[in-house]
Amino acid sequence: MNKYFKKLAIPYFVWLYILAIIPFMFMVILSFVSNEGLDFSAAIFTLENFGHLTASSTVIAFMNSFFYAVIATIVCIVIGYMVAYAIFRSHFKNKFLVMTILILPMWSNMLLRIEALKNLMEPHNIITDLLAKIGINLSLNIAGTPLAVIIGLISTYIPFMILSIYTALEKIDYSLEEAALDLGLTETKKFWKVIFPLSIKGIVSGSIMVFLPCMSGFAIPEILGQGNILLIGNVIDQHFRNMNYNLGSLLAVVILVVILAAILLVSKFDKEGETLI
Amino acid sequence: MIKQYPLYEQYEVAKIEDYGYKEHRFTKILYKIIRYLVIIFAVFLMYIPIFTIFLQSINSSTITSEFGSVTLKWYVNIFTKGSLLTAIRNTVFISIWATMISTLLGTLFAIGISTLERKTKRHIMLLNNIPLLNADIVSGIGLMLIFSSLVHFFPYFFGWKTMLLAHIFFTLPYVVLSVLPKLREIDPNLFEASLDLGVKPYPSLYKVIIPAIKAGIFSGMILAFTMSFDDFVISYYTTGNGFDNLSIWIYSSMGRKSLSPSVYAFSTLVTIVFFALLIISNLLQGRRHHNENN
Amino acid sequence: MKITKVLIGICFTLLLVLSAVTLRQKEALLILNWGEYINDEVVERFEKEYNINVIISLADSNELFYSKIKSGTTAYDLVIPSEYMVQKMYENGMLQPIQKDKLSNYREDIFLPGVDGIIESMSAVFPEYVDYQIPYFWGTFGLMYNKRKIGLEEIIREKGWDAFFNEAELPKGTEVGMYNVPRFAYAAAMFYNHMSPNAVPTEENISIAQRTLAMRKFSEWGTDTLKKNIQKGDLDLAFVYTGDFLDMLYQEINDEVNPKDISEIEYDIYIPDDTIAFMDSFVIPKNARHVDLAHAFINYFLDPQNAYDNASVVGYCTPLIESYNMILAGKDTDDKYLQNWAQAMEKYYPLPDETWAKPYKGTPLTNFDVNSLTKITNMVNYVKTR
Repeated sequence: MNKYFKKLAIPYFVWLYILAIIPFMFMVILSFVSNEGLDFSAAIFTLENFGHLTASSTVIAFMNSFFYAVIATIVCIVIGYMVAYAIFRSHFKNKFLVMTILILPMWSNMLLRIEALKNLMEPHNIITDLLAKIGINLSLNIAGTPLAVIIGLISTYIPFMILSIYTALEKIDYSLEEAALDLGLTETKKFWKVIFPLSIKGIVSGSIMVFLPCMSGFAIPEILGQGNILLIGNVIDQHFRNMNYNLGSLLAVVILVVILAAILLVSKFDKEGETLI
Repeated sequence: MIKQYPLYEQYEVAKIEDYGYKEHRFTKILYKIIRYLVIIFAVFLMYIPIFTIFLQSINSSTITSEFGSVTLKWYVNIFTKGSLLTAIRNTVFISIWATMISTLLGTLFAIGISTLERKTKRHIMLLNNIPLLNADIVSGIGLMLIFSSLVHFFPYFFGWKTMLLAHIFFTLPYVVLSVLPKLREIDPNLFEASLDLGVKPYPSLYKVIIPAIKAGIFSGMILAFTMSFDDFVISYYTTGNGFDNLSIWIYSSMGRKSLSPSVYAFSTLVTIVFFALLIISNLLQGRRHHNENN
Repeated sequence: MKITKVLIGICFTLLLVLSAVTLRQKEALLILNWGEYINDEVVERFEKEYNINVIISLADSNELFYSKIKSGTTAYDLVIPSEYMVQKMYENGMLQPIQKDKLSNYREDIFLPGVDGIIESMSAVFPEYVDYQIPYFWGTFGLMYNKRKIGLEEIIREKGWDAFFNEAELPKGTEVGMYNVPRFAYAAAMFYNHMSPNAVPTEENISIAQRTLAMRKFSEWGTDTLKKNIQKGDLDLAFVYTGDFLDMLYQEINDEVNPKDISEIEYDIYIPDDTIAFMDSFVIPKNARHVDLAHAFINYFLDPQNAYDNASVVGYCTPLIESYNMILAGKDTDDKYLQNWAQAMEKYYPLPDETWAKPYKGTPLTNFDVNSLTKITNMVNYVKTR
């Protein structure tokens, strides 16, 4: 089929070059100049923006982002793997149904979901009120703590992890499992020697799908951290809000470099770069 | 119909003791309990916000921390609040069209990409990952800059056109990524066979390849819709001329006044409608299988 | 299979109808406004009267207003920025003057003394201010507190900013929140040190502000969440818009099921003399396409009855003296809600008396350049991550 459909890919090349590469170049240029907003009439070349990179709060925000993203990703891997494996082993006929049930929460606006989660983490909320009416006094007071942010990150991004791992598991050829059992492996050994290694691809791509938005997002730390927890996404957002597009772009470019490194990591595991989902 | 799954139930599986291993029964039971707890915890984490939103949508009190009595007035209010209704309509319009267009184009692009040689393929896949992984704000501002170079020629360009283009831009990679693995799995001989039987390339693409990758197309479509339906940052920067979607409406309404509970009502409505659709489609499918088996 | 095909057909038809409705482009007046900052019913009346569509887009900061207009992606006909942003937009040549002869409801003496005061103080640094904007709403910031916390009300009313920043002054376990906009936090710190909120952020001033903000740990840096948490009782004290407080108050006295009396409300706000004042006004961008209609719209909101209706859903103060008096007249009616509204207006947006140095409370903020804002942001971030 090669000769017939090759030209179908050409428009996508053009499309990506215009809409993905040009904005990136633009951000790089912005980080080397000083101007106001997007007005280039008074732009001058400067390295001043790089000075702000070492501001202690920015460094801490970077480290925070990394730290929170790593923890959230690890927890997502553990929980996500268990859930994905359970679905994989279950007897559901309709796997689409399972997948859609995982995705269904994401069809409510993310901000509403985070606000709802935040309310639940505060002493007074609708559920404690209802519980109090039937005589149960139960409340949680963790809003504004690192734990709240991590719970928020996990609950928002775990569907990606489950889906990635599930997709990888589903691709495993059942005859491999049979062969493993024929060769005398126990169920546990079969899992660690056959299934787990084959699902690592799913873990890697799932980790990236979880890790990156955790690193660059700003809504979750802002709301669940009650403004007390600063991640790099918040800093970028603040600078864009102050119309300091130069510093904002510079920080965004730095994050992009991290992302590109992540992509290289993926392509090391997956030479064709196809398993990001 | 041959029962395909699970195969290991059809064979006699040897017991662990037969091989001389020790059976860690206690550990296994413990693991089983932990596994159930974790699954319950995960589902709880994902659905508790949805449940709270639902409670708020039927709460007569406007104070978010108190439950007054059950009411449906917020559901009625959706249809009377002009700006909210417009925002909902715009959201549905953009996400449905963006999903349809990017599913169609993404599938064709993926078929094209699958025929490329390895090196070019890696190149395009790297590019394909950029929109997916870029911080939203960078994509949004970048797209705005590119689109605004066209404003001189089309003064009313910003609005649904730019927002639709932007949504297609960031949903396409999801479709491409979902379809490609399925393309790798199909048997190339199928296509050759259909050509040998005298079917032209494009009709046989439709008759042979598309049915074989249906699952990938479908999951790409769902992901695309999810991303488009919930997007705020990119939409915010690429819209114009008063074309706001629901996310923009929600974010901007939170600033100076509290949010109308009608938003919770709409959100719940979406969840319920999709849930109902799922159940119905599942029932229909089940019945079809049943009929085929008989 | 027939059913599926019919269903798909129906879905497609619905989609086409939806698209047709969505894309039906009418000639429209484009307004850029804050969220929930206008009474939709008044806008609908205007639409009927002038037979035109009004489309209101939303943004949540003055800087976003600026970026949206500057980027030129949309030719807005009317924007409602605060006073310092009016100045900045004017200086960058983005505005056109308001043609007052087109405003039949406009006279020089229709505004409240406070509004005139702000216009006067703005005109001292920016003489063209009066020609380029028409006031829409105005208000102040204040210290919103939880009455349920014993001893808090007295100390806040007595010591104001001193109590806000000093942990020792406040009752034990008082949870304090700060508005999560670095510029506002800087202003608050300046008030504590009896300095102007517009003091240039030099090294010295930045370190003063940093020391002040670091004096206590704020349990929450939020925006609209502050008022809700005080209402719920999860927070005790916060620096917020007076309108934030009134928004909560109106909600409770206007509740359909269980309307409360103003005396039953469990939180209050104290407006210190040193606070931020602001005034949002209508301005017309240079590239507006419907200049005459924009003027008609401004004029419509200068009508006292319309301004009165508009103020009933927004927690800020109307600039019109006549509308203000209409609200206060509610005291003499039998309507419980109108009585409460009049009381609230009189208490929280009082008319100036002889003891006041100027006819309004607080100081309007001036515009800081990007560099200063970045410094302030970094300083506040440092305080948060300390």
